[in-house]
Amino acid sequence: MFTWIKHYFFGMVRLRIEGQQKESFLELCRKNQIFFWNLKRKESAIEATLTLKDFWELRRLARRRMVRLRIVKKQGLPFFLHQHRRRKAFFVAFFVMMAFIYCMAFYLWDISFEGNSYYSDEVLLQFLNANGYTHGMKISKIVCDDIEKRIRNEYPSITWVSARIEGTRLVVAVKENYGALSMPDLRKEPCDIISDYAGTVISMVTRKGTPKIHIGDTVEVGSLLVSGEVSLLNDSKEVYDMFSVTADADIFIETDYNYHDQIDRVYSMKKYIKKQQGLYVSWNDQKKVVPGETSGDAMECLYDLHQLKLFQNWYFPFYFGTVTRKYYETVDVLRTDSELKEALSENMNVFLENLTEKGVQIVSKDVKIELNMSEGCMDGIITMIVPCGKSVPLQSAEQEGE
Amino acid sequence: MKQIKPAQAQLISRRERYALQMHIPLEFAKGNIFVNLMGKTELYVENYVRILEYTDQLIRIKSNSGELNISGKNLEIVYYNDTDMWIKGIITTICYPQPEEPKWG
Repeated sequence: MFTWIKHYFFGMVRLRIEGQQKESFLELCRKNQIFFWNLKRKESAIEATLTLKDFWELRRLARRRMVRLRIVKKQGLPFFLHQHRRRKAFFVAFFVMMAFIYCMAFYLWDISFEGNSYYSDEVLLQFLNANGYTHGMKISKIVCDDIEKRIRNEYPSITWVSARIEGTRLVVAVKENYGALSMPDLRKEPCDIISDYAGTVISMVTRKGTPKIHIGDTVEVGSLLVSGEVSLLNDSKEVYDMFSVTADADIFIETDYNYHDQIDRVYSMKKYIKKQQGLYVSWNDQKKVVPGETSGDAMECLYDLHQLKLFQNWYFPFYFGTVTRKYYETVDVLRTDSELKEALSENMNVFLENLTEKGVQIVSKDVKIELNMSEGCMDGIITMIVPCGKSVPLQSAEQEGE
Repeated sequence: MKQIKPAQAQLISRRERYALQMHIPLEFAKGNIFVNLMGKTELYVENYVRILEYTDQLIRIKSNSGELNISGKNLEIVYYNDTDMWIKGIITTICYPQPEEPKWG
């Protein structure tokens, strides 16, 4: 490809070589460092291509070998310029365009982000815009170190930032940290553990403190599970000293959850009436102004825009693509019994999946679906084993104080 | 370095001896022609001396080891330079033609 561009730039000539000593002529050319390509036999002659520079040399050699050269085709930029030499407006427009492209290269026309998933492109772009880094600013005014420092200071979850300029594009690469470095609870004050669910204790492992309940006991919300006060007994089993600790235990409780879900039988749905597709050209990426758009209609606009660019990183402030406008009207649709049941079951499955992700074990579920003319309800009891326990300040100390 | 025995040195030419001492492959030193055939339609020739004849059915090439005939259909020289040549077309035979015996009397 590169060779073809080079040849096109300097000009190529397709020749027809006729005469008696064609092979000998080719050999003579080879010795004089003139090389052909795309050699093809056409009846008694040979057709071949060579560069324009070599062609002038060739005429001298042709006389020596008594061969006749005939130009079949001229290709390349020198011939194109010569052919259109009278079209002054074309050349003026060409040079104006080249000057325009050259001037555009001094400004920033695209900002892209790499490696971000928690913070979206829009959030980071808004932050950069607020700090003065916008589309259309001069590239010479961009300080990459400053961008990196500001992003790191603003977003603590972003642990590494690299900003670089590629052509007319600013590329900001980030690395995010997804909460792996969350600080452990280092609270050292004495505290109790109370229950935050009502139910039966299934399992209990106490690491610090005095357990106040046993496996199989029934507890209410707010019941004391593990006390932060530890008594020291002597040989006669009498308390001779007490000290306070931060109670720590793993307690699991079997509890019942009253599940209730309700879905209306009637719901709204978009019914598409008309679809229009058209070309869209804009000088910025603001997708608000659409030709032919009427504000009153209910409509969805789908844009498929591409930014104009030369090569890989030479971006320009022009956008082109297609816009698809879908006109719709909102209609009320009635769910059938089976659809209603399906929707209720789906909601419940999502609810149970969320619970399972939080470490809750589902023991049993006893739910009923009731359908009437206007809605469908799902009610019932879900029995589950949940991790239980909430740290609170020492209760015994407060009681003593009172 | 590879040692050359005296008996071996007598058998090989001076050019080959130098090539052995300089660790150059003997094939290059001898100036043999290389022919790479890619499928039925492409042929890459290296180390040739000159083109003797070119038609769309036959290309005759002169090499250090003799004349090489490439015959086929719609033969086309994609490019050539001092040492290499790339031929395209439907290639049917590649052969060294037998020299004609002199006719006595």
